[in-house]
Amino acid sequence: MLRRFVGGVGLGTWLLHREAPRAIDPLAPDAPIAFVLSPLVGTPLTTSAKFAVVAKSPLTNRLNDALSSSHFALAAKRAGMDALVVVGRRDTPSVLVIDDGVVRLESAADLWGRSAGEANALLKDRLGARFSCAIIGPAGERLVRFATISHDRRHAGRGGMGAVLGSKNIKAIAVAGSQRLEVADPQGMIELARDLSKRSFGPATAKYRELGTVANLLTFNRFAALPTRNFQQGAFESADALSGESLNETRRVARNSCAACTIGCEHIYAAPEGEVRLEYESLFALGPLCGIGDRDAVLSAARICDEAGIDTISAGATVAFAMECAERGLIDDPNLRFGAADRMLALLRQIAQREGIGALLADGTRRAAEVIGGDASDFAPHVKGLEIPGYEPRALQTMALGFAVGSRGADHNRSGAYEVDFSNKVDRRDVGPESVGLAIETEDRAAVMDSLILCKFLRGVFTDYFAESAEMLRLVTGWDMTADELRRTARRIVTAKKLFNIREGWTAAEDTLPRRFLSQSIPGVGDRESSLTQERLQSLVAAYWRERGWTGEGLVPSKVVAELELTD
Amino acid sequence: MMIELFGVPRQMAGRAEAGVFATTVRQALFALAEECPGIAKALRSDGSLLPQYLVSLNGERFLGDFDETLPPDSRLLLLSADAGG
Ligand code: SF4
Repeated sequence: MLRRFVGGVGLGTWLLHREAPRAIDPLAPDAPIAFVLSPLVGTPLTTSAKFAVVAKSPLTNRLNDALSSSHFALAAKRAGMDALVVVGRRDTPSVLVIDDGVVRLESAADLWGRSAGEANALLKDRLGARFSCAIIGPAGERLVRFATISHDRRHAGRGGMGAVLGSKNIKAIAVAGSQRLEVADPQGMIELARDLSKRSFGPATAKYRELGTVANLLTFNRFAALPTRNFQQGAFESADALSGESLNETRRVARNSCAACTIGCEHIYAAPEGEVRLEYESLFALGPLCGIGDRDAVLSAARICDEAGIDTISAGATVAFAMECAERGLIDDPNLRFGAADRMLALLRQIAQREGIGALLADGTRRAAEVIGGDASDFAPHVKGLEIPGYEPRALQTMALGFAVGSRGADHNRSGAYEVDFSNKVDRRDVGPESVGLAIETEDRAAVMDSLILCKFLRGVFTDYFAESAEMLRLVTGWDMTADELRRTARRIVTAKKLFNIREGWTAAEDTLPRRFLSQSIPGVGDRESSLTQERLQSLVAAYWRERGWTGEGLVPSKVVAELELTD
Repeated sequence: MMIELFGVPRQMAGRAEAGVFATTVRQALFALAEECPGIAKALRSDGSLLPQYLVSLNGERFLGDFDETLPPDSRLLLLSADAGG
């Protein structure tokens, strides 16, 4: 089974199939949440200190996997963990402590209500510095459906994994251990790790290292692919003021990295209230998407999200959606307008606390739109309930396909289809069937990367990704893995996710985009507008299902299930 | 023609845009490297781009043929290939 699913997201998907009761409410006590490591954690391979959190999402009601990294993964491996599945519900707020394989529960009464950062400091005081903690913030306690699980300033961000842990009254999981990792070929591993580290210093990672992902903002703006004012435009007039370049010049204070990483992509900025890590996704969502061009307001917003423990993409998209609702008279809130920075900051706090209108918005844009009514569902920016990240789908149409078919909803991490749009292989604003196989290739590569688990920012250093990954697995496990076997593993993992969703009620109508994207065009570069029709998207989705070997209704035939050894 | 620079290429060049006289992409990139020597790190010796970089014509389409002849009023956009997050 380990060889079939590798670890991380793959293994987590298998565990969820086995442990989750059918049609379970994701916030019910019996709903499982899995913390899953991979064979590479603890090796000297750069960027391998990562773990996956896998559960049924309270935002989408579909399979969700969120990755995070750093010391928690290393400590969990030393504690003897490959995976931890948490079920049940405590009567009172608790900490789950795993000390060298021995599990106990402690009170979290003194931690409840605190930010992840504060709780982490208190917990380390109590348990000792050798413990690493994965912690929810106040939003997870209040079951905000896009709450994160945080540690080391990083987050298992998407899909509301923090709410699932909060529903169990678990504030934190603390792990420590002293076991050593044995690998099958220690010498080979050292040599490969050295080579990979060397490559990680090269041009393929320069953007992440030197500028950070915030550098995307100006590029996307120039290509009219920067979601602005709740996806009503693809370019933002204040992009220069918010650009990564200007942030780096005026607000950057430090650069950090996850444990065991030679790239170091974390760029830290000074917000008015203190320091904050900022990525492109937070920048676009809390800036242009809400019509905010004030960089201090964006940095403050990112800090509020981090302290509360909420996903910045969903948070920004939800605020932007609410702004449009208010401007259209669907919500009575005269101060809530695109560009209203103070109201955005207040609304983020309300969402985290589920106060006032924040209680409704804390359920995400899909549910909020259903309650608000009118035509709100047409412009609620989500797929399967997960808010759309910073890639305008009409201007990046291979990505539109990736969003539509994504098992966890609109997602730029499980499908790297935007890479196809940023290439000379397709016309990004008029893509045809030629993009489908290329989109699948990025999805398959991500499935393996997320199961191994290696950082996606390393992806550019590989010349033959599947062959090199197979070699890594061989060095750790001794398995005679080949690139072809790993390609099949990728298909298996993608299909296993799909099977879980089908089991939980997936229908073909879910593999689409909101009406706005299929009925309204936006200005593009030059004279040409960017538009995408329902017919075109549907034909791409149908071609995608076909290439995956699925039926015309998007279901998985039993022949494919058997071929991919998914019968259990 | 004008060449607009984004991300790492902008950092290498130390500026956001440059004007060059050229009729093909290759000529334009050579001319850019003369004007902004830092950008040479993004080029192969034959004037084509390393795979870590992309060049687009007017933001409309990405170019793969470095000998393509360009209209005189072209704007070339030079950026990192890893455009995503
Ligand atoms: S590149 Fe960035 S996200 Fe990836 S492991 Fe390194 S510091 Fe963490």
